[in-house]
Amino acid sequence: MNLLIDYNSPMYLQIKEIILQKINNGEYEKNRAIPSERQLEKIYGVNRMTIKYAINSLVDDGILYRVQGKGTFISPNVRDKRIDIGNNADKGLTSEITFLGKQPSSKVIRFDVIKRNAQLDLIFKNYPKFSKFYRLSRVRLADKEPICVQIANIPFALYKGAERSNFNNSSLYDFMNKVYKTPVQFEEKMVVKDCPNNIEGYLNISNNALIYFCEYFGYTDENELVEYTQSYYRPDKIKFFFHLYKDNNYKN
Amino acid sequence: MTLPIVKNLNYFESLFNIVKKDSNDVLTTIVIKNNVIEANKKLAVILKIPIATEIYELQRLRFINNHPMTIEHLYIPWNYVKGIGLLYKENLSFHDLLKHNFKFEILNCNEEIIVNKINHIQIELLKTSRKELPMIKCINDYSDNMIEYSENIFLPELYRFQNITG
Repeated sequence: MNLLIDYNSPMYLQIKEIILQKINNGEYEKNRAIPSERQLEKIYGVNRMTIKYAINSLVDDGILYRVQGKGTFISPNVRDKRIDIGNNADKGLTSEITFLGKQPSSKVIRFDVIKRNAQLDLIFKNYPKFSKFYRLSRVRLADKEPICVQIANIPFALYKGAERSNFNNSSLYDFMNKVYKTPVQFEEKMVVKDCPNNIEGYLNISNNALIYFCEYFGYTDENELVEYTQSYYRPDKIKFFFHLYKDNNYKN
Repeated sequence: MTLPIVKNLNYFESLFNIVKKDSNDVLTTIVIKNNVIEANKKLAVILKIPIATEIYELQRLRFINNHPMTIEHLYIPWNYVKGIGLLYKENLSFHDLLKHNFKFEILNCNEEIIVNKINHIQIELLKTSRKELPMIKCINDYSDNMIEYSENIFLPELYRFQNITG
């Protein structure tokens, strides 16, 4: 295999990432040995110390274990630690993080009241009465590692008093529920694209890395649009898994 | 081009049918592999067959309006689709072929979208300078317990995904 060199990332981390991908893809299986250090050295054309660093890091993470004289094996306890936000995961990001045994947290980047702009005008075109919006930009974390950046827009007129909440340690939906209503149905659009420069730093990812960019349109039980959120997800931390049916079986 | 194509994540639809239904884009295909191979361990587990069972392998480079957009690589146990290699034509829907010639109806599908590093051959085929690309891993369940597995690498500008929940 030819290793595609990314000069912005240490080589041992790239080898580690490749091994992790092979575990996630099922190419390397639980309790099975991975190729020897000598074989990995040949496959990737990097020196033995780099391979050792990558393997040691995976052993420290509990993903690999060594057996004296036999080799390095995939841990039987290894499991997919990515957070599922596909259509099987309807519990919300915080619950999904907790479900994986990780500690969820949030860090507010900005919290503003903004005027209705061209983008919001288009999205909320059926709601001309919404002239101002709260815009909450947060980094969402799991065990202190950034998972995504979320920029939520909610109508000021419906959720007055949001500025008195501390969204570093309280839920936006809890607040929305207390003041008015939370969205119960979502339309979601997703593309894979280059991470914008102003988001990279918050997600701790390198230049030109691909991210999942999602837009959520949240509707109440009365089909009123009350939320428009943009989310930038790290692909190494997030899993988009979808169970699909044939078109004629589909029931929304 | 009218890309991205909208792929709905509430129900299954092939690229062939999405392009045919929704846009004026032209889909063309080059077959890279049209083989019978033996299942390795990974494929055997996914397809629920013994290792070294013969499987049909179809790898295609697909173009939208003459631009290379996706490499699709699919596997099906050979005993279900004997002779398919000769029947498949580049301008046909593979799933229509399964339906009409082999009477296999797709029942449901599990898809996962991931981002993966790509190799030099994939870079050349897709004429991209990227080092990683998104991939759809797909397991399709058919009637008669037949399973199809595919890995589809695509340029990010090809798809916009859409989903409604709640």
